[in-house]
Amino acid sequence: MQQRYQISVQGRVQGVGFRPFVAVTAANLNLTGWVRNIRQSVLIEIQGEPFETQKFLQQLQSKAPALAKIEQLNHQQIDNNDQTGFHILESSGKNEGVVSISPDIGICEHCQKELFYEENRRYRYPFISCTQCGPRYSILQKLPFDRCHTTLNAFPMCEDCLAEYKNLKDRRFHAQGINCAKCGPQVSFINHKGERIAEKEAALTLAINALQAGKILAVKGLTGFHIMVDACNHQAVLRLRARKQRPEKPFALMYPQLSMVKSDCLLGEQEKLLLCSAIAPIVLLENKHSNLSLSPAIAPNNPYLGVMLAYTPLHQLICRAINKPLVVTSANRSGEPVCCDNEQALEQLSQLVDGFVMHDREIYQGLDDSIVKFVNHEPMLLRRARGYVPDYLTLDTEYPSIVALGGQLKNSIAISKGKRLYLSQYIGSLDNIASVNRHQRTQKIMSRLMGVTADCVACDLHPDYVTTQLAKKQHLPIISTQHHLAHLYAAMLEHQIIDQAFAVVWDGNGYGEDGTLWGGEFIAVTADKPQRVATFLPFKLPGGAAAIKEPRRVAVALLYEVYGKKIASNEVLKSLSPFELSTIKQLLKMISNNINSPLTSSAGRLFDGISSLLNLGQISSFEGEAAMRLEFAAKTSKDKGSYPVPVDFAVTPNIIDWRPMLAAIITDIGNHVSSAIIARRFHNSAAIIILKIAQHYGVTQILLTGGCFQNSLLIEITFALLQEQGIAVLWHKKLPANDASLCVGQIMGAYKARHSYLNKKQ
Amino acid sequence: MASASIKMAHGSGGRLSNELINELFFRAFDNPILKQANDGALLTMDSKRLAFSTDSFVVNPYFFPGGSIGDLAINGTVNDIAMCGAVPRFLSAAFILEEGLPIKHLKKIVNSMADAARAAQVQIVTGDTKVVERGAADGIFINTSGIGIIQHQQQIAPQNAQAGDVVITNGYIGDHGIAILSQREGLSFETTIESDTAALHTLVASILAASANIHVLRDPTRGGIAGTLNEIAQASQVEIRLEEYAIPMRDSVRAACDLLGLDPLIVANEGKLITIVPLADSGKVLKAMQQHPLGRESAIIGRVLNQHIGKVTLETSIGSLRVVDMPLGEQLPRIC
Ligand SMILES: [Fe+3]
Ligand SMILES: [Mg+2]
Ligand SMILES: [Zn+2]
Ligand SMILES: [Zn+2]
Repeated sequence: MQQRYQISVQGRVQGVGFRPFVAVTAANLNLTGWVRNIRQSVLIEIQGEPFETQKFLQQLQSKAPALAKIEQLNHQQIDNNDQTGFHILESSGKNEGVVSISPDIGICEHCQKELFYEENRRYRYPFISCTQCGPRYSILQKLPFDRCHTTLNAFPMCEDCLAEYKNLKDRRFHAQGINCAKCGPQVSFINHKGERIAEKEAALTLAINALQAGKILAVKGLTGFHIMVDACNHQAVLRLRARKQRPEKPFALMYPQLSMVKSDCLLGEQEKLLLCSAIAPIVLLENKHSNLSLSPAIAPNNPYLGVMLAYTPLHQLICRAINKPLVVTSANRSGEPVCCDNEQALEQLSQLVDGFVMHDREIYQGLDDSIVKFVNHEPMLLRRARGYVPDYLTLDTEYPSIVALGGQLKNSIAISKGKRLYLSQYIGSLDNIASVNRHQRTQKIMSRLMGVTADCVACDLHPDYVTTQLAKKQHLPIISTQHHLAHLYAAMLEHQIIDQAFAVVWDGNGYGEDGTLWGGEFIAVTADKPQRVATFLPFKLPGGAAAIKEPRRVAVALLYEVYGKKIASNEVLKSLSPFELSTIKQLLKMISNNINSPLTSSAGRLFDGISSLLNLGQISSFEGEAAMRLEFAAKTSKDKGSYPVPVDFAVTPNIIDWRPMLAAIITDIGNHVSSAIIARRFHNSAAIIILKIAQHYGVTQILLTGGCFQNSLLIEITFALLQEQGIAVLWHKKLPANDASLCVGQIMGAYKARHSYLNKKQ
Repeated sequence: MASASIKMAHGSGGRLSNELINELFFRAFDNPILKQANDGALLTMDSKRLAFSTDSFVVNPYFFPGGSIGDLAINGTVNDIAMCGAVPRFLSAAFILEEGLPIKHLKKIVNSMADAARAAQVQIVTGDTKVVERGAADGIFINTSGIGIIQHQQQIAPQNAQAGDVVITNGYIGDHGIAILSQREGLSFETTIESDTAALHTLVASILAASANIHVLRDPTRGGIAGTLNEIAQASQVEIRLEEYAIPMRDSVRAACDLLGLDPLIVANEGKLITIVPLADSGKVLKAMQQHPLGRESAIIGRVLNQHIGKVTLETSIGSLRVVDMPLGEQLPRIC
């Protein structure tokens, strides 16, 4: 007696080869029926003998494609019918539910083999892909994930591709992204004047020759343009730095194969797996300094190299021919979002590059490469974009639909729907029009793809953030969450902590409830309401934003708090400041007269100031540069010493007085103790502060969040110290510790605010 | 309004000032003339077209390099009238004096007012004096009001900027604000920066003579050119795009702004104007301005577009496009 079942599968089941897998599995078990994508999930009907149908239900879970993530699987028995065969039906857009879209995927092993196998009909075709690899989210215009809803709709399949698409036995059975040299996108080479001078194989040859000759190219990849240059040509790398006006910020490298990475960098098993995974992010690896031909300008003063493998067929064709690592950096005009459109690239990049490698597959949404660092042998996301987006976080309870617009720097957007929280790709700093436009477009696309109409908008407390201004224009109720509370909430959401938490939020600056700039906060969340329990003794930032860019100004401000105006006359202290005496006097005047010198309690600024005193960083050419130098210096020392940092527990919030520490550092400098040792002692002291406050409040678990906790040494020291005392330490892994996660915390802030408002009303 | 009490920023010419004006004063005093939102009011009396304006001066210190509160009190109101395209004629002067103000200071200030009035060819025809207790004022506050006659037929208003127009200013920006700040705080720079305070009505007369199509005339005082241009961009529903390198600025002012961490675009001016004219007339206007003693460093600093409506943008030297916000008053860094 036959049975018929209707099965609905939710999760990441579109664009990952799920329907073909269902069809093949059903066919192997002699089942009849059909499978179709509905807007938000996959619906299946199967009919056959009980033994086979049960087996099917098992295999649906156990043998699902590697990229699939099944979250919910419901089945119910229904009436039999007498249809024959097993069919993949046209998608239907009607049903509602929750959606999971696949991120963009690096080239799979099979496609890689075919790409370099002369007999294969896609030999050297730069856009080879299959059900297990290729573009997904970046080309998707609407749901469900069908070819006609992607930018590939411009490329009708040829007969050969169509035959593969229809053949149950073929690897590309129902591969939405299928194409070949006959019917698919093509690459072309465009010179710096914007003239198309070669296509296909000839274009590749020109590109490879140009790179070998030290030329700088813009290359359109999977989710955006890159700028590429030979990493072993020092002059060429310097030329790129000069053109991009990017003096120090490290460049990422793209390697043709793993073996080469292994010889240049320390590569653990975890790092290796991630590097070779479908996500294929940039992984920060310790530089062995064994490859002497690598340009020293790639990552100056930095023990890491940011490394990725050639993750698309086009990149493979180029990298393997060069057979050396390439500098591969997001193509944009300084500060603007990654370029993803051909026209735009010609307009914006022609001053930067000597030529373009383009293709005619439109990128609907640009995504940067993601960046991952390993801390205590676990991955920690620094930039979340290609390969991770649009994966979502699972919420503990049903949320209303809230859209959170995020912060000003490293902006991302979050949207909640039901039990899911969607997080946009890294968008960038909203200090230019292009980024603001990208931000608004991303919000629109996300709302459409996720099918969300927000009923409230969440943002930061800072009145001047672009996102705060944008929130006001949405004609929705606005709920703002204080910057550091949002950091804390983001950490809570990531670690699925629901109501009580204790966190160290150390970062640059965020607008505090008292109108000063916070950034070195201990916050406790209880059933009641969040409380700022401890903070650093505030100090001034002479010149406001100028002090954030110039750590040396912070150093003067810190010295002023300890020694007063004496620093202008004290020879020892004067020598610590990289300013002319007259400038020091003016800065002191600004501080004492309160001229554009806002107060801050920022830990990040404290790191900056110490870095300046040790002469490691005076003017930052990119965010976090000085603090990174301090971390790297500390890493080279194993010193166990620390500095006195008294905490005044009698006041609310408790005040951490860093002045005795600063005085001790000045003494150490006077005694010619090395920068490495001082930097290490400073890190040790920071961990001791955390321990002291955690113990005072008797907490058993503490969250570390905010930009300072991208510092792996700080995390590792804190973790070791607190663990010894039985205190669990949780830090970010899936979400960046920096401002990119503010939007996530803003969602929780808005949810909590609404919740308590509704409770009060009742 | 968001805040419960008045903050300094409510008087800074920035976003909070605008909130106060639009949400409190305009609502309470509502009438069509007020709504013109010009530097002064345009009135018609017995078929004579008049411009009427008032301003209070509370500057600390009241003596500074390049002038005094007395010069500002005359030139400020003269300029507000001139920006209506009118020829200033009569001024009133009201004094609020703090107990203890040295008479010799008052004399010096009043004399500078008399000199400035003579230079601007206006008469001070009425006045008032009040003295308040020590601490209730800061030395001296002056209010001046003035009336001028409009003799041209042009349509000049902040609402009239049009895509295709160009934006011209008559010289170095930021001098006044930096002069005051450095004098008040005792900051010394290599060269002393002097206030640019000046009466601009004769410069306006040459602009009006050079072109019959002047669209906008404003003096970028409080809030600097960022504040003024934002108001114009909003009022005209256009984008105003500045070119960073084209904006005239003294090296000393640039260096001082760098040290202080201030954006020169939001620093106050007292002898500068912004005029917005059609591209076709811009050459004539620029030439006329450059021939005037107060306009030798005149320059085209930007153009009017209809791309990013209501915004002022700045093309930076590295080619990216930055939004120049309406200053909030107190700048708090947004970067993290
Ligand atoms: Fe932050
Ligand atoms: Mg006025
Ligand atoms: Zn594949
Ligand atoms: Zn084909």
